[in-house]
Amino acid sequence: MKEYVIETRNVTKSYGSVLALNQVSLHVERGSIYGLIGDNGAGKSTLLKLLAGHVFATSGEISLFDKHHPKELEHSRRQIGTMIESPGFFPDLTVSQMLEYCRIQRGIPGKTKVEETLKLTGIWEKKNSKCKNLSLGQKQRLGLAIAMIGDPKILILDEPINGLDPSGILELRNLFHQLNEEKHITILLSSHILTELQQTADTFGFLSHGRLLEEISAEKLQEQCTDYLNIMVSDLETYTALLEKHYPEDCYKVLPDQTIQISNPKRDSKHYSQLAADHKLVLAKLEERRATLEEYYMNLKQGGEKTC
Amino acid sequence: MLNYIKSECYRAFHSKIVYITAGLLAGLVLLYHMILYLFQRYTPGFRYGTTSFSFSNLVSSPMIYCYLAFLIVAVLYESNNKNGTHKNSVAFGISRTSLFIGKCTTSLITAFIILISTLAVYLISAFLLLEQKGPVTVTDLFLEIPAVSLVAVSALILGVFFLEFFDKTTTAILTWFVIMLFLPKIILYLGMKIDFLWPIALWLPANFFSVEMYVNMENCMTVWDTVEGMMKCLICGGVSVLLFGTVSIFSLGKKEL
Repeated sequence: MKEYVIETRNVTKSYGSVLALNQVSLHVERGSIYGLIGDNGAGKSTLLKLLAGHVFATSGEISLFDKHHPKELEHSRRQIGTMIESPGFFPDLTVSQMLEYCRIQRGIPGKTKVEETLKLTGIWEKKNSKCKNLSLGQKQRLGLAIAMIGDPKILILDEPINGLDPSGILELRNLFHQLNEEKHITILLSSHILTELQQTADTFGFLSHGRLLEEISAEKLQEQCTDYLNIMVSDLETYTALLEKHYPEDCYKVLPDQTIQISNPKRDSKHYSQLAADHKLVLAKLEERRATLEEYYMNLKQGGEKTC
Repeated sequence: MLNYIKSECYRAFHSKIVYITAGLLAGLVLLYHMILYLFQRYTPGFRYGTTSFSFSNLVSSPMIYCYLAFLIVAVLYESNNKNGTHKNSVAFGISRTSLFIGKCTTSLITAFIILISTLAVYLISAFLLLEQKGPVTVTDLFLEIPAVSLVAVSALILGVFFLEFFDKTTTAILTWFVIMLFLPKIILYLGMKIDFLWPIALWLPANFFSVEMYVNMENCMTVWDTVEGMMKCLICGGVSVLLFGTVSIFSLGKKEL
């Protein structure tokens, strides 16, 4: 049986007449890296804020480590590290002072913890810099250090790679994997950069207009992301007629640029080129491809079939 | 909550602004006494270079302790909402009530230390530089502190509440002055025309600390001179602490960040 460390049941959050979240039921399994995907205003930050206790749900239930009573939730949050929206810090404190402040607040024994965390998040060399003088990427790293100082069991991170350079993104991705594999930390993160999420997360949740459209594991997503065959021929009408005659089980559609797109082709691509050649049609394009996470999300959002 | 208070104290005593404020206040009182001393020394007929004159200024304006309490709160928490540090603490599972009480306690500790250091400079410089004569004595000053203490604590609580409740600092400052100063004055003036408002007005600190006092270089009649007067100060302060504390905890408990 699956063990969920974060679970929401029909959570709704409205700001006045604006419905930010609508009956969201999220399930984050222990030890997973869960990627929350959604456009701006889809409700990602609101959902993460609800989990962090920044805002209150209008209806529904939140459960952390299987605890859902408000007092129990407060206690459960001590095992969670968060970085939601921009990282919060005191601009005039130095980086190490800021982390020391968090260490004292969380009652973490041992002053070496600050050094360890700063080194782990790659901001040790900036330990004496004032927080206000950090670059955007360094602020993100500090935010991550603040989230991680209590050795949390769950990390909730909203757009953690914002402002990071490519090598920073790679370092962070490796760090997430390391934390997940070595320390068994469950990570819930949101990002606009879906290709990055695809490389990091093992489970995905798709949010759109406040609704959680689907939760899917990376393996299932891989299975469901259909293969495409894009074909462009000299005579579109003849070729589509041939397709219907010879391969009636194939599902195809004609794209605006006159490309015939066959979803999940049932045979090898050479059969399609042979079909064109046999009927003296000139083949301008024959392209095999697999749907990306972006395409899957866009399709899902538009209410399309799960096949891409 | 204790860890939160410890962390806030760590921050307060690692912030330059706290030391600047303490230094500025000590410097101001020293400068004030030096000016009085220099005038006394070099201006014939100058009557104000006495401890009585200096103390009378402080004794006649007990609300200054409230303003100073609010100043310390503003120094510590003015940009807290903007910084988003509050969110870290809430996300860590510290309740909003604990955060509020923790902030009040930290402000109180900081204000107390700054008060002690400023008063020390004030008294030492007064006794070293000024002539010790006149009706207002250091005893009046020492009696003023307990009399005004609870009212100042309530002012501090209200300051923490408003700075946390309102997103804009200017709104918090204006609202604080309206509640602590302008509203009591309006009730006082209305009380001159509307009978039932008059006794209410006289239970508001901003009013009884001015109307029921007569302190100058020749006279020293304070509210806290009598047992009833001292009780009035303490009861009024205690009720304010309870009232502002309850309203704050209730309102902040529901505030979304």
